[in-house]
Amino acid sequence: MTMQVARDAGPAPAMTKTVTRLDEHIVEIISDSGEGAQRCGQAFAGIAARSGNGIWTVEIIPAEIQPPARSVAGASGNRIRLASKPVANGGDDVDLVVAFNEQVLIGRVLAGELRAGATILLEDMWRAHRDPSIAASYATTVDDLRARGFRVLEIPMETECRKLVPDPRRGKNMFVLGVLCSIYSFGLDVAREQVALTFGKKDPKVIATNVKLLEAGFEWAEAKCDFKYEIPTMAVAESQVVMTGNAALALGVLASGMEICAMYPITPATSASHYLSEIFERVGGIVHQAEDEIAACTFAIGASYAGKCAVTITSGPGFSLKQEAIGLAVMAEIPLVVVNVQRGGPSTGQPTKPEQGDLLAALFGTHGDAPKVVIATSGIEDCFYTMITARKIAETFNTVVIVLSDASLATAQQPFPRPVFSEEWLAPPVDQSAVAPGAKPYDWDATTGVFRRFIPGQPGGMHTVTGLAHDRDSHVAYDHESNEEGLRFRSLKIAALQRTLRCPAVHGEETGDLLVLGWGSTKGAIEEAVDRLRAEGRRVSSLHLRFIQPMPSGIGEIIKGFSRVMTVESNWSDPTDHPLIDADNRRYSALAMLLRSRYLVDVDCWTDVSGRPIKPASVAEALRRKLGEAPR
Amino acid sequence: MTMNVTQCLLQSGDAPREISDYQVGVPRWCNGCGDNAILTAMQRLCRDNDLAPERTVFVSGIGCSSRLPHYMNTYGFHGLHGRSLPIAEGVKMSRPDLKVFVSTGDGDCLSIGAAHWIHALRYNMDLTVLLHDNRIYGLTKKQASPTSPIGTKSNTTPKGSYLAALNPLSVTLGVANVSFVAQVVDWIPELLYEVIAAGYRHKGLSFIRIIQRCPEFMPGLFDPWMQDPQRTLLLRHPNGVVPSAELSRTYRNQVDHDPRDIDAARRIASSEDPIPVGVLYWDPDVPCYEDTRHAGALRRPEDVRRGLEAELDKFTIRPEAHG
Amino acid sequence: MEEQIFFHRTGARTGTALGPVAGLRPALFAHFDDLAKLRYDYPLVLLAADGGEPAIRPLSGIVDELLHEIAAQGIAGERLRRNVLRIERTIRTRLASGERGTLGQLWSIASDELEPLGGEPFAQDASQARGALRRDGVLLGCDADVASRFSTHVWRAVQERKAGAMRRTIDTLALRLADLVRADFLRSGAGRHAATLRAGVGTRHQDDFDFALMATLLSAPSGGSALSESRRRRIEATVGALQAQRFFEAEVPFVFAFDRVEDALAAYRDRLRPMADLVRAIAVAELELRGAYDEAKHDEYFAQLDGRGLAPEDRALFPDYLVRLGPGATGADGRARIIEGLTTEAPLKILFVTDDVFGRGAQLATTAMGLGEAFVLQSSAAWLYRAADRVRAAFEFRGPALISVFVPARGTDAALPSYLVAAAATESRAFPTFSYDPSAGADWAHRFALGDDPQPERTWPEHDLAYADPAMQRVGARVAFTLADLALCDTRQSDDLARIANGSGTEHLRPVAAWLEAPPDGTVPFVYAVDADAALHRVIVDLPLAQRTRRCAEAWRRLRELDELKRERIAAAAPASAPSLVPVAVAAASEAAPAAGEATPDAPASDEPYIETPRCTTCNECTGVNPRMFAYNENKQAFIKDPSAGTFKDLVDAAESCQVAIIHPGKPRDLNEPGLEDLLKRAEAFR
Repeated sequence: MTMQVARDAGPAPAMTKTVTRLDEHIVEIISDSGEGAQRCGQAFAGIAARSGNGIWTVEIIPAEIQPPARSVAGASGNRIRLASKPVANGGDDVDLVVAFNEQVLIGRVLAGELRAGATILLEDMWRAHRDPSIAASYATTVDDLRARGFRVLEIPMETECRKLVPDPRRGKNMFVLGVLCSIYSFGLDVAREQVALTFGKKDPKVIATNVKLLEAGFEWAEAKCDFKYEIPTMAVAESQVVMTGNAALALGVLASGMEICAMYPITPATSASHYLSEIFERVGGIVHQAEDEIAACTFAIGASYAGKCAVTITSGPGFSLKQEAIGLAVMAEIPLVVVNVQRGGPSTGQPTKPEQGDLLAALFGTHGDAPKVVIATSGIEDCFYTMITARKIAETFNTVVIVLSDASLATAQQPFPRPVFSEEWLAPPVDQSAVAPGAKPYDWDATTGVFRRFIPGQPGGMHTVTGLAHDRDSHVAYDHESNEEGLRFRSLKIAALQRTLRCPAVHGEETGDLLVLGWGSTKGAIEEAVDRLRAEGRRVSSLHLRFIQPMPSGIGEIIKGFSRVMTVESNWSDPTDHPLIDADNRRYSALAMLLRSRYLVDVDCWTDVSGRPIKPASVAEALRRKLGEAPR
Repeated sequence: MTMNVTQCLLQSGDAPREISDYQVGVPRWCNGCGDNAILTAMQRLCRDNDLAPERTVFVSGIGCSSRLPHYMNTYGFHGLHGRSLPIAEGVKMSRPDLKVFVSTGDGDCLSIGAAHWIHALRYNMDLTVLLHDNRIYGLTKKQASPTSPIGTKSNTTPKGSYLAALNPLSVTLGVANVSFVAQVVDWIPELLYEVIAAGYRHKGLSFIRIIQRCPEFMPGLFDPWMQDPQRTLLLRHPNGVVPSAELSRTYRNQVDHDPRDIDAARRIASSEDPIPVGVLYWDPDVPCYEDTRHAGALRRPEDVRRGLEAELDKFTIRPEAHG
Repeated sequence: MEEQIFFHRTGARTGTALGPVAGLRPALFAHFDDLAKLRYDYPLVLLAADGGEPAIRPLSGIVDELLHEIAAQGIAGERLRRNVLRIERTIRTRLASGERGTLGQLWSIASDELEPLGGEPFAQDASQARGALRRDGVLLGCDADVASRFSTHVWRAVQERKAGAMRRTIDTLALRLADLVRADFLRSGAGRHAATLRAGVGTRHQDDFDFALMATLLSAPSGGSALSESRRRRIEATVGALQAQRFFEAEVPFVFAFDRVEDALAAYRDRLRPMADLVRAIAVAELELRGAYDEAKHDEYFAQLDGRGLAPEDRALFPDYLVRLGPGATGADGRARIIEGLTTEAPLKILFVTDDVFGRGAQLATTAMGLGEAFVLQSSAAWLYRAADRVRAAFEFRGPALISVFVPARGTDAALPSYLVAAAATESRAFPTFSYDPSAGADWAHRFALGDDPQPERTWPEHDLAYADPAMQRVGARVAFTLADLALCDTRQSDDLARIANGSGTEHLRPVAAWLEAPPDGTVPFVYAVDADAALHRVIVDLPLAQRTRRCAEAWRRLRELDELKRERIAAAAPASAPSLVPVAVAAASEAAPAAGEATPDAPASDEPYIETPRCTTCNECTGVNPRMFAYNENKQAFIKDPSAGTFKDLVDAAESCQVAIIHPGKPRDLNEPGLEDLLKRAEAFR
């Protein structure tokens, strides 16, 4: 579906080139870490978004902090999916990749990230490298790549940059940015603005130099590239913002009115706290880096207890450490928001890689019966609003709210409409009014289990909260009646909330051959896959859950409308094709397990734990397989 | 209070509070347990400083000591084993206007909560921390604690404990930002009260180790000291506490020790016998974490709005940039 | 000679032996021709208030610091030093010639002026020094308006610090009150309405909930509003009053600087009501926030609270009123108004500037001290910088204050630099520096303090005067500087002085200081003077001026006595030395305690049972044995409430069970109590 257009390519020696019009393209920019591919990618994404393309970016992060130069595993950079309409995931295979050396490229090729026949723009300085082994490796790799059918374009990045700056290694990323702007037909003005923005804090000289490099790259491509792409843009009607999921989380905390965040450094959650610290230094508020995860959680509980609902932000291992404290908040019914930006597990697992492995830990990780609310964020924008909703629920129901995000949302970027602030979002002021004589600190409402908390400073409300079983007076009580009463009402609260939840809308028809259920960051990929199959005429629909505990009513009814049901998740489930695995011992993925137990329906699951953001194509393929199977 | 008028109006009328105003419930400690003496001292302190019960919070962990909040007619938080300090820090950070006390035991503070103990000293928030040190686990029925004397026979060390006891004072005196360290014994009520009062007056974290009898599991452990006053060394100084003449009749083994002198404090801290009693170290100039972090600073809704808009501006793609 | 005596007696000039004093200056001024060359207090730099501390520094001080910071040892450093000092001198000259502006501005002007002469290295030095010059402020020379600008600068800094603190308090209270109302709203049923709940969740989640149902479910524990209608109205009114205040960093602020006492007083009186309104608002707010507002108790009180009812502490929180009075106000009624202003409760800070030390205005400060409760400060313009701390004290003082400053008037000073004349006024004891601070103590000794006037131990400061006699021989004389010498600086005094024509006899002359001490012997008092060519002259002082000089000396002695009195008192009340840190061990303690074995004096006779109550550890043992016999006191420590409420056995059991062995059973009351033998043996241990 490409069309040929002839057009003049501006300043450089005029040459007629074909401009290919595309619906979408996936671009990767990779280098050794420290060479600025990250920055280049972000800037490119910014330019695309400003120009009105739908975008989704994925950070490519090497496992090590400072991997050796030119190492296959050391690729650092950015993947940008550009489209003529909004996109909600990183897409499938790469169409065009810019590599600063051939080694990092090899890594991506072996990982199967490149589409067959993809275009490769490669720094050519290595060909003439004084170290013969390097020169040789480069030459053979290029030949090999061509043999594999890739279109390899060698670019004298360093040679060209040296004409403008003394140290071309720093700065070639802006040259590349220029090249890409030319290739994807972006206006130089927008690009210049973006560069100014990228180096905003630095002095004008720096910006000027980088703009020069940008323009040089642009002109080089105009003159030397015989192809050009154009991805139709949408008119940006309302004001949009582009940010990462973790930035959205931090801004959500601010917008929710929470003033205290206690945390302990852990990947990939920390960047949210970094940004929140910056914000609070300006606006007021405290990010407390505690001595450990347990202290962070108990500190937050203390702050909440004293009247200001607090948040603690962590990832898998830290989340496990907080479990006892979470139990305390549940038992004492103190509002608390816990954010878990999930990563690969168990144990230290894969700190930088996405996985949805903590769902059951969130629901059941605390010893004893510890009912709490579990919400999953399903996109960048959702990260922002979820914090507001989480705080509101936590304080309204005196409950713990666990927010599940994951590494793929943490670093991904996507534009969304600029939020419009509402004062109603903010936490209520600390209530210091006198407590009515005879009122009890745990005066559970018979129908809902909800009660009004007494906050220190309220005259007449003096009592001692405790993690021990207690009665309505908060007195330690070992008798079974009191214990059962507490258990009943703490559970009832969640039921009360559940009653107020509306069932999410089905994506697609209300009935069909296959219903796909998902939660969290996989939403974009699943719905795109469903759309592709529906375009093929398959009767597939999907349902994405935000509230997993409690789960809204109506899901059971929806399931009845489909002959096949499966979940798609990014956590472990036993493959059915292994000789040892059968219906009796198969370990299902987290959501499937929950649905099976609640609805007594044979819910199948397909999961991906590759450590990469789940891809629409692989989901689509899984759905096709499922459709091939007999209905339940 | 800004206005003199307000003060006058507040003082007019209300009768002074009594100890009974701070009492609630019946202590479930064994007869003869030192916790009773500590509870009494705390209730006296509240009365003598006329603390508003609703603005006072007692935080504790788990253990015999940690039941104390249940017997104080104030707000209380009986938390998790070892975590009383971070909880108290959270309370103080979100509400610097509250008076916060911490009751913790030798197991709670020095073992499972050791990390929090060290870092609480560094934060130096304005907390009064009482370490109820009876040198044994009581609530779990007699296991050796970090301060049990080597050779202590317990259910986990039937042949006697193997490790030398940890000295909470010398550890505390080695931590950056430490600002108030004192030691006292539960069986000298006057000093118990005076030392706790000195700790309460200090702005910053006051760490008070209270050597405490456990008649149930460590009977007679401190008899030699109780019977021979000479085996108690009273630290006297205007900067610390000055024992009354009456007390000095019984306890004559005294030394002038200026708590501003940390080297002397460290020497004294290492003495097991005689037991040094009084204020070992005091530095009123260590900044409090809640102050350096501007806890409780004014934060109006419009501040949040302005802040949020300013941040959003940084991420905003202006529609006019499209094209 | 007769002419001389005649003039001295009558002030009338006859014949030719006496001439006018026009063009003469006190002999001691001979050295000071061009002040711009000297590095003295002036010019001053009025630095922007730093952390509420009014900052005023002499230009020379700032420059010295600057050089200390940037000018290294060695040739380059020396060059830099010289260039900077050239700039400083140029700035002085510019100011003297009427230039005005900030240090920064004049610095640039000066270096521009010098650059063409200085060349490349100069430009470089100048810009380097300019860069290192961090703080800036208006330059202040010793001019006619010096007192006013100096005081206003300090006053403003003091006011701003006060206002800033109060404004923060007011904002906080307003916000907390608003919080109180909002918290109540959220607690109320209205706070649980579907719409409110809906607005509270993330915008994109508003379809995820059935808020109508949520509202119903949550309605139960809503507890309703705790705010009575009257309380809500009171709180809203209070917030309104807080926001309407015009005293502290307000939108429409009141003015607090005036040129007439009566205007300031009128303004103060007009503002009594607004003051009361704000005090009421703050007090009500503080009570409300503690939930301590009691309508029965407080409504009436606040209803009748007006400006006059305000406590001094509360009034002191409000801004003070600066009144700047020029020499015009020296008239009798002018002085009367000042005294009135100083005796009202209004916190007037009156700056009184006089240009005539011989007139009545010069006595104003002394008179004001007599009032007792007003802060008084007197200083000549030349001593102002040295008195800066006292100026600040005057503005920080809670209550009225008078600052009386002598600033020589142009035209009356025989064209002498006014700094020199002002300094001379202090030197001559005509206008000494002193302060009277009612807050410093109960008596004069604590309240009164002399400034660092020169040679305080003497009646007149003395200086060496060297000159050449007609035979061109060097002659040295020790001469005092008196009021009469000062008179040479003031053309208004010219008639009281007469120059002796050269060659006239001088044998009947006696220096005025000596003349005043000596018994009348027909001699005539004189002072030394120099003319424009630095030629020495003798000038006869007429009787009235001589008398004024005498009174001036007496006034000075009185002040000095007050000051000495102070020194004695302070010396008497010297603090005791700090406690020693030597180990005292038993030694020290035993002073307080009898040797071991002795019965403690306060112990009751051992017949009666007793408890060493102060040592009780509240262990509940004895109260467990017999709650009627043993009880706790107000400190929860045990005592024997009723010895007859139990048996001797109870006492012995309790004594044995007592952890700290402080129970003494004494002697049994009932000698027939069973098992007494055994009990007595057991009781032995507790005698």
